[in-house]
Amino acid sequence: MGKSALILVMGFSFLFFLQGQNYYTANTEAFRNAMSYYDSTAIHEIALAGANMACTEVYREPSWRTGFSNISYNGGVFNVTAVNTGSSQRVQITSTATLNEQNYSIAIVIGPRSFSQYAYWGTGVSGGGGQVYWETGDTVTGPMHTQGTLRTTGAPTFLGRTTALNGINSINTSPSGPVFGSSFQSGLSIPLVSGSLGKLDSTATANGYRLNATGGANLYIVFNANGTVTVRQPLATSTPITQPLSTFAPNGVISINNGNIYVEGTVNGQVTILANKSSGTVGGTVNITGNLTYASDPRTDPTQTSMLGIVAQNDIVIRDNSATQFTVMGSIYSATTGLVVQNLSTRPAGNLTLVGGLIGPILYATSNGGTGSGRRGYNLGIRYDTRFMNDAPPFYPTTGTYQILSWYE
Amino acid sequence: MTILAMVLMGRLIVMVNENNANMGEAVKMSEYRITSISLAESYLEDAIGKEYDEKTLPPNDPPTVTASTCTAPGSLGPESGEAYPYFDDFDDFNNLDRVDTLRDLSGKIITAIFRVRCKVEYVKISGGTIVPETSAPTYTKQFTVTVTSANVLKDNFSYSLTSSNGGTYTPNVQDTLVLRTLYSYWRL
Amino acid sequence: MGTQTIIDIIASTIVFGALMLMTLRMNTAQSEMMQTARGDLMVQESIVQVAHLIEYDFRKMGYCRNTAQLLTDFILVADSNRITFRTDVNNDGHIDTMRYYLGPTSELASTPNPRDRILYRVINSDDAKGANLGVTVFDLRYYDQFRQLMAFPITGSALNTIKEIQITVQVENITASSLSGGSFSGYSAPFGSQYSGAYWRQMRLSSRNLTKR
Repeated sequence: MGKSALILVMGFSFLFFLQGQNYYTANTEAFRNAMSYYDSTAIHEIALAGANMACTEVYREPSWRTGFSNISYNGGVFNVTAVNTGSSQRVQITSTATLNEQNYSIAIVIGPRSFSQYAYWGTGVSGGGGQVYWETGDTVTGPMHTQGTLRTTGAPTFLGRTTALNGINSINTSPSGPVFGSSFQSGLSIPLVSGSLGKLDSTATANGYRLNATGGANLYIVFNANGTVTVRQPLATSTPITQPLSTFAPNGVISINNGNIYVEGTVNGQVTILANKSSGTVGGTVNITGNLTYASDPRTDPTQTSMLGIVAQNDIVIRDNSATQFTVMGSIYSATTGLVVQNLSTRPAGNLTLVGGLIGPILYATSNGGTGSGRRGYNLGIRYDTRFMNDAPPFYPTTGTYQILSWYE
Repeated sequence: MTILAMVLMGRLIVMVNENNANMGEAVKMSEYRITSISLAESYLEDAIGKEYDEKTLPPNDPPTVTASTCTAPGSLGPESGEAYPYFDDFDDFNNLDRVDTLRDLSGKIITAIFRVRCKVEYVKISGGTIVPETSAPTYTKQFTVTVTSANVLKDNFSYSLTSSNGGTYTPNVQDTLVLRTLYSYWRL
Repeated sequence: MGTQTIIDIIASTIVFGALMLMTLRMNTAQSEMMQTARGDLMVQESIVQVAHLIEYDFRKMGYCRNTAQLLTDFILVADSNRITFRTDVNNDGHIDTMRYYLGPTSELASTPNPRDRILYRVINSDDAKGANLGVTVFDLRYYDQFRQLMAFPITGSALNTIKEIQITVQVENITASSLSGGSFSGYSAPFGSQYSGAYWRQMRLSSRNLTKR
């Protein structure tokens, strides 16, 4: 019996040993599972570290493409490359982390934050030095910034992200005040960057078209739907030159310094026109003499790729051509003033539609404010071109900061 | 022999029970490790959602902020009146030391109790590695989160052991989870 | 056979029987411990799989490879146990819609665990595919830029103000172990109905792509 008992015990010892092995395996697997989760988290943080360091290098020096090679961090290493992508102003940063023979990558595309991303940028100052009040019926359909106090009366609607430097001042809020479709943030400072137009003018010199005007010379531009541009200078009666836009201004920038631009037509391509004024008293104005549009409305045609930037040191003028419907497609930027409607007190009443954005310190009236048969000038409708959220006309003025266009991890 | 068998059986029972206790504890610790990893990741993500520095918060944030305008290395931490979780910039987490755990939807604690400690410091690249920078602000800060718990031990069990050479393992030494990341300044 | 022999036989039988009982009881206990450990392991592996999947998808919230694509409304539905958001799943430049939600307990009525459900991960209008079995809790809480918990319902423009998301997932074993002392202190249930379980909670990335707004 004793022998049997001993054999029994030894037999069971062996069985428990086997079970113990299984139990040990479960424990090991559980530990391995936890460590695999740790490794996947740690490798992600290593790649993130590389991506962050690269973004700040590009921020500090936009031409930085050196990258990082085998930088040790937190038990692993990261390698980072930075290469141009799309337009020369965009950078693709790829950060690859290696930990325990595993790899993980984060890919980022960053680009300068363009002022064209705003449907409206202003200072809250109106023509004549008064204050701008957005009122019931006014609608801004894209991002908007006021480098001052945002003033409202009644219930204007701001559908995009709205920011202001000095808060909001709302009056006549009964029965309702302003409506924000996205968010409102105060305390944000986004000033126009001085020297932007000089930089743009230099870009035109590098690989665009630039005219340094003398003796009152101006540029007369007609964009043609077939992708060409007809240009006369220095006078409206000068012999025209017609060329494909890509030949006339390969990098898409057409500039005149110390002169004015007169422009209309159908834009087929991506172009920024600039009326700069570096000295003297003449120049720096863009005059829009007729409808200035794309072949199709980008709000309804997702295949539309044309983009127009209209940049001026001073006014951008809607010339009086007696039309009751006037359409401009593009993002308008004035460094010192804003959009001006010529003869707003006498020209026929109608509608001025801007598909794009309006950036300028001063918001001028576009009509005489009259009603019925006494009304003259235009109702202004700004319709945001949503493509400008992530894209911009060539070398359009930027805020001096970068934005993430895409972040893939 | 029968008595011998019974003695052996008794010893076997004790050993198996001890082993079961150890293994049960070890499997549980793996679960707590997973929890501590997700806890650490939560603090990292929370920090990354903040502004880089108090000095880069609106309206102190013109497009030309330089590193030298940021908080001095010795002053990294929450500003007066700031308390977790209502921090407003990345380095407010510096020297955060708190007890954290998971509660189910009814508020009952359902996992181990963890101690979370955070450290934020400026760093730079030197000699192919990331090193702390203590003399002046830089454009990059490092966030280190450390999570420990009395229920997560280095040797995976709390019973004392004697090693083969006669030495003694020190049981009950808490295992430490460390996660780090970098956060840099570029104005969005 | 003498009396002593009979006594010996009886005693031996008793001792042997006792030994057998002890051993069989030990074997039963060992098997249950093994089953519990395996259950715990399965649950832990399951929770890590869920964590990986959620992290993988939520990091790409609002992402599109084609940077000209505008994703103004990243999050379309934000509820306490379901979420719908836009992303570029295949990284091919086309915007996709992703939905996470829990199925009803009735779908898994065949499993012993009465609480388990399927966690669904659905891309665009594809057929609903279960991402994980045994999920008993999938809870989402949303925070704005001031770290304030947002009250439900979150609709319209409020969806654009979500800055952080807290995700809580509980996974249980779909079959029970017989032992008490599972992951939930104070949990009491009839014998044979304890389920191994694990919790995972993370304050989730405010997706980098969301900062474009």
